[in-house]
Amino acid sequence: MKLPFLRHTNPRRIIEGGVLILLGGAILLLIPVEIQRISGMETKLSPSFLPSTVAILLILMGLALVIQGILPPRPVESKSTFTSRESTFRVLLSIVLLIVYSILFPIIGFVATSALFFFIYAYLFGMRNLIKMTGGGIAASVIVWLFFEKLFNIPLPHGVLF
Amino acid sequence: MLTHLVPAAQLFFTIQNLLIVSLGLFIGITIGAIPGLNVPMTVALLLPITFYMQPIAGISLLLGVYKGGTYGGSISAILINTPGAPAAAATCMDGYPLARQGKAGKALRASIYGSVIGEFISDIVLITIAAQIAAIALKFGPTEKFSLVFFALCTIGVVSSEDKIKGLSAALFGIFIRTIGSDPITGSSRFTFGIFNLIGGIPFLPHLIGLFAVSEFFIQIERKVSSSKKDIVAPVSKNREDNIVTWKEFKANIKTIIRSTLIGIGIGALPGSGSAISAFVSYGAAKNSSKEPEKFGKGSLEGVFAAETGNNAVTGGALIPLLTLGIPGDAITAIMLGVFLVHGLVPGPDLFVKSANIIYAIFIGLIVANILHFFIASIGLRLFTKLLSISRAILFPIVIMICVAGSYTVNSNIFDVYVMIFFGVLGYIMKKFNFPVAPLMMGYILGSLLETSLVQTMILSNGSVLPIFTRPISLLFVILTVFFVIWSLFIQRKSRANKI
Repeated sequence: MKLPFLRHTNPRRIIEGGVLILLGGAILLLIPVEIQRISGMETKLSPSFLPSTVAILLILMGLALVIQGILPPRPVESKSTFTSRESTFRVLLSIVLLIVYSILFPIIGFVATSALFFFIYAYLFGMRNLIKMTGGGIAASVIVWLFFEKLFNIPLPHGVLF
Repeated sequence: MLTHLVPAAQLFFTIQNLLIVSLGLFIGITIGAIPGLNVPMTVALLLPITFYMQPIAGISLLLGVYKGGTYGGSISAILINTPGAPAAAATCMDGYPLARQGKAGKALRASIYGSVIGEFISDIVLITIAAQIAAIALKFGPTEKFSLVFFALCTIGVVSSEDKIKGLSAALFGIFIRTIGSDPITGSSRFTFGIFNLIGGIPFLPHLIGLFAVSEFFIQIERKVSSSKKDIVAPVSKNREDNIVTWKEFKANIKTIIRSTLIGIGIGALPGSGSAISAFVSYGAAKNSSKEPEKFGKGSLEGVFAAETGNNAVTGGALIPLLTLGIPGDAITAIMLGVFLVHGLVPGPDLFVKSANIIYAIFIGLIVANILHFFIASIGLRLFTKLLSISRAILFPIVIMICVAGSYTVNSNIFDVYVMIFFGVLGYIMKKFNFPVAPLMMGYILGSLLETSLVQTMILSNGSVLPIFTRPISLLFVILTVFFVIWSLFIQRKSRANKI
């Protein structure tokens, strides 16, 4: 049971605010490590002045979100963040696939890798027609390659295949 | 102005430039018509290609996409009740009911006329006042520049999201991202984590392709809407009268068109607002002053004229702050900033002095694009209608292919592709939690100017920030910022209270 003053609590907003506070805090912690100090320079003119100001403002924004999440009136909620477990899995899979794609295409070659990943992504979008998926993949990757390399003379990696 | 017209016309009027503007319009209308694909995404995807073009050609291509895309959303809004672009959401309200009454052709024609007239007048206003604003802006010192950038960032932060705190946080995070790399004043490294590729900062293009295109790809794959096929209403009716806008109907809507154009220009010139807001404000204003307000939402031609004129009139307005002050008016013009910068052109008052011929060539391009827009939209109407049924299972894998190729080719560096993926994931997470991405990009773009102008101000005043509040123009921007933020927070609180 929630305490009376927490009746209006909006956990999502508190989490969002918390993330901003953590982000601001992380920037503040990183400043002494990641910014070269210049001795004798006035604090306001030093390279850490703007990042510190931004970090403090982010923390204040985070606090404002947390306060909004605790105090009434409860903010009007927007639609749910993630639609379903299956869709979240699909997004995670597509992120992993994109990383694999970007690792493979300089090695194998842009056209071959793109045709393969067109096939996989079309499948993830729900297409099941193998001819369309294969033909579409080859055609699309060749057209993109022609567009970049032949029309605008922008080189793409050829790799071991093409 | 007249002295620059002849050399500017010589610069612009080449077969290549005319073809490129037409291609840009065609791509823009196509992208705008297909729900799920949007203009910022397309402009981001085309940006790497423009790096290899002449400046006028590259800018013309993107302007064509901008104009075409803002209009194109109305085709799907009218025929399938789904706005192809957010700017066309207001068009659905009367466009689709008109289509259901067999008057899709009339609504589509009204949309073309409203869009072309709106953008034509807004371009004329841009051409007329740009040089004057630039002349005033030339007198701005670092203090005024700082206040102006601060005002622009706060405005986009509060305007681009229903949740003002989230919008401002996104802008702040964008400023932080800009601080990664070498400090612009001392050159010392910041937040590079020992990664050599980060010394030059986060690369512009992969950053924005990630934020606008890759994040949208993840959103679409999550929804898994493989086809945008819906019941497409026939765009042509057997009754000729239903396919055209008669002179009488046009004459009755001239007031609405002019009002919506003025609203569009004003909103466009305000940093961060954009065409969707303009369309709804214009629609609301037309309804309030209409003789037949009861018809709105049930198939009012006035409603279509208001929404479509309002959203396209933004295109000229949004270019005013970009070209005269170097401050983009919306997300699309912010992306377009890239094509200027890569060709060594820094948008702002200096551009009117150093590269006046290019500026006037762009102005000529805008007017020519409006004329071409009218013909391409009118002639290609049936073709654009057919594009509505293209499967997203084909479109989005192509989009991701272009994203990867576009990010890689700028520096032929795989690191840029990783940056693109990082910002794609970040953009996706931000969208899921209702954090707008446009302020982040604006913070990134304007962060450097904000920092250098602030430091210069403090150097000139022995470390004091007081000049920001004592110099009159700077103080005016500060007052405007405070007023704007408080006013928008008040509006947000009021609308929440009404919803509860």
